[in-house]
Amino acid sequence: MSDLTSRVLGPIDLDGGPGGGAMECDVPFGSRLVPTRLEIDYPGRLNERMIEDLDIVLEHLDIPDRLAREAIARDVLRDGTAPHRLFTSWAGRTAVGTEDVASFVAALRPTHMLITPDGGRVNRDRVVLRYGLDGARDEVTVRLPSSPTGPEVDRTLRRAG
Amino acid sequence: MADYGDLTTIIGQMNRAAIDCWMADQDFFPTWGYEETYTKWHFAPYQYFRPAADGSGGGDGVGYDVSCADAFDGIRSSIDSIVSKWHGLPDGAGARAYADAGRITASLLGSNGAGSSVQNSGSISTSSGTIQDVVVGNMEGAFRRPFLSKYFTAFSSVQNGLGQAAVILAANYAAQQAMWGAVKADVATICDNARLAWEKQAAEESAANTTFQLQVVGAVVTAVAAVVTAPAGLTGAVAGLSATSAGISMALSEVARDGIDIGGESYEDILASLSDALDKLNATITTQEEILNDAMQEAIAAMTSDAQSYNLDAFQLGEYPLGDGSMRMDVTDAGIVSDNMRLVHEELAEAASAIGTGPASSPTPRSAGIGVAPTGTHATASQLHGLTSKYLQDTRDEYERGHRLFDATVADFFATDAAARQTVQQLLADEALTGQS
Repeated sequence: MSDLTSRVLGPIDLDGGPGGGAMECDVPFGSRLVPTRLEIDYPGRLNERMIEDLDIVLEHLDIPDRLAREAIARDVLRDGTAPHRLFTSWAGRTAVGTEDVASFVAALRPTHMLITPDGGRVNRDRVVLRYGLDGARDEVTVRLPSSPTGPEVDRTLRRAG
Repeated sequence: MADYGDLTTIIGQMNRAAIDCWMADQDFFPTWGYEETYTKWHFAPYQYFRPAADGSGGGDGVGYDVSCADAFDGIRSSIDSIVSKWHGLPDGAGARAYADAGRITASLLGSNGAGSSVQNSGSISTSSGTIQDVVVGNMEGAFRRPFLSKYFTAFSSVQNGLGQAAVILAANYAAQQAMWGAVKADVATICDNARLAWEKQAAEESAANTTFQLQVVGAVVTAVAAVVTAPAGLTGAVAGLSATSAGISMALSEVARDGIDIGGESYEDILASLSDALDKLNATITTQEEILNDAMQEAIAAMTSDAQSYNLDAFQLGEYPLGDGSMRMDVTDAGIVSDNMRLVHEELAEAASAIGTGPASSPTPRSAGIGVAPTGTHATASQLHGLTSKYLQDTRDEYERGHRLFDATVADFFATDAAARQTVQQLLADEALTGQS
């Protein structure tokens, strides 16, 4: 266990060696606790500053949540995208109206969060969020990469669990 | 292609790119959809204001009582300390007139123009050759030996030596004329590539490294090669200075053509590569100017230590006998010699006029820390210019005195002037007094 403690994640206790490590915990996300996995490629480089930066992100999850929902909302309107397919199964129809988008996006619940803060160029994803619907088995995955291109929504749905 | 005229703009853009890169090194990037601020990973809170496109400002936190404005100032200051001396470079145009003067002087003294070696061609050499032919072939008398020794043999060496000195001066000024346009292009290219490297690194793109050649290396080699090429037709007396002038071309062509590398994996890496690149440029300029300075100093040393090879006034006329009864010449031949001697000192006057006076101040001034000195090669060039100009004028005067000596010798022989012998004696006395100056 390191001496580092996150305000949100608690003591940083990575499962793994010098080649990388990970820890799992539940993080308050809106009104829910969301299962979260933190993966660190370079445990030796972890320091208080990095944990502080991470805590600021975790204390303002409304921002990645908003960005992810905006990305899903854009894709719902496009045939063939994962959000559109999830909408179809949720609404029981393929035609999507503007008001449908708002209610669909509002119904989404974050189900999992993966944080990879030091992935560098090899893995540009920093926060990966999965969203599902109550009673539905499939989930949409949204990646927030350290890249000027913005959020990316996976093309395929992921089976929950 | 980057233009030196836009250097201030390029440096401003470079400052912002460097700050972008420094922030990116810490995982802060221009915010998605709002690029006036930086955020962690492009999207996470918290934000800092980004500098404007011209690199100014930025650094304060947005909504938080934090600031990295001091760090931004530090980055701008680091870049400024590297590039500031490269502002206000000369364009080299100020050296053009002196390069031309050197070439014209060398040409009048018998240089074959673009070639390195003064080969005693041209009207001075033609006249001098005629004088020798007529005196040796058609005249008799003991006066011929000292006369030809000084006014043909020694004069040929002086003509060659001064021609080489003019070639070396021309090479120096031609190099200075050609150097700075290329240096400006190199500075602009280096700075613009540093900007690009920082931009690419900040955007986390690959291949942020660039390698290129300095233009100044080839520009100076080409300019000097137009003045100095491989030595040819050397005479023993001036082989040293001919070798010096030819050596300029050879040494310059050996100046390293190593590639300049700009790039790196971080702000610091790229800053170091910018500094190294400009240091390499400066080292190249300094080496080139040292080669020019060395050649000119070698010329000055040769001209000072062996003045009689470069200044006819320093060559002592041997014993000049008159009325020994062995003298034979006819009026026509005497006239031919006299006419040609007049042509020679008129040409020498033209050469002395062509070389004129050197520049009062450096024609290529630049900031301290660039090249051998803020005034470049000016101090050494001025010394060589002054020496060459003085020797040329002295040689003209001395040759003109020799012409009067010959005319008086002829007048004495034909008894056309009762005071001729006295004139000869007076000229010989003057020659003895002014020689070895």
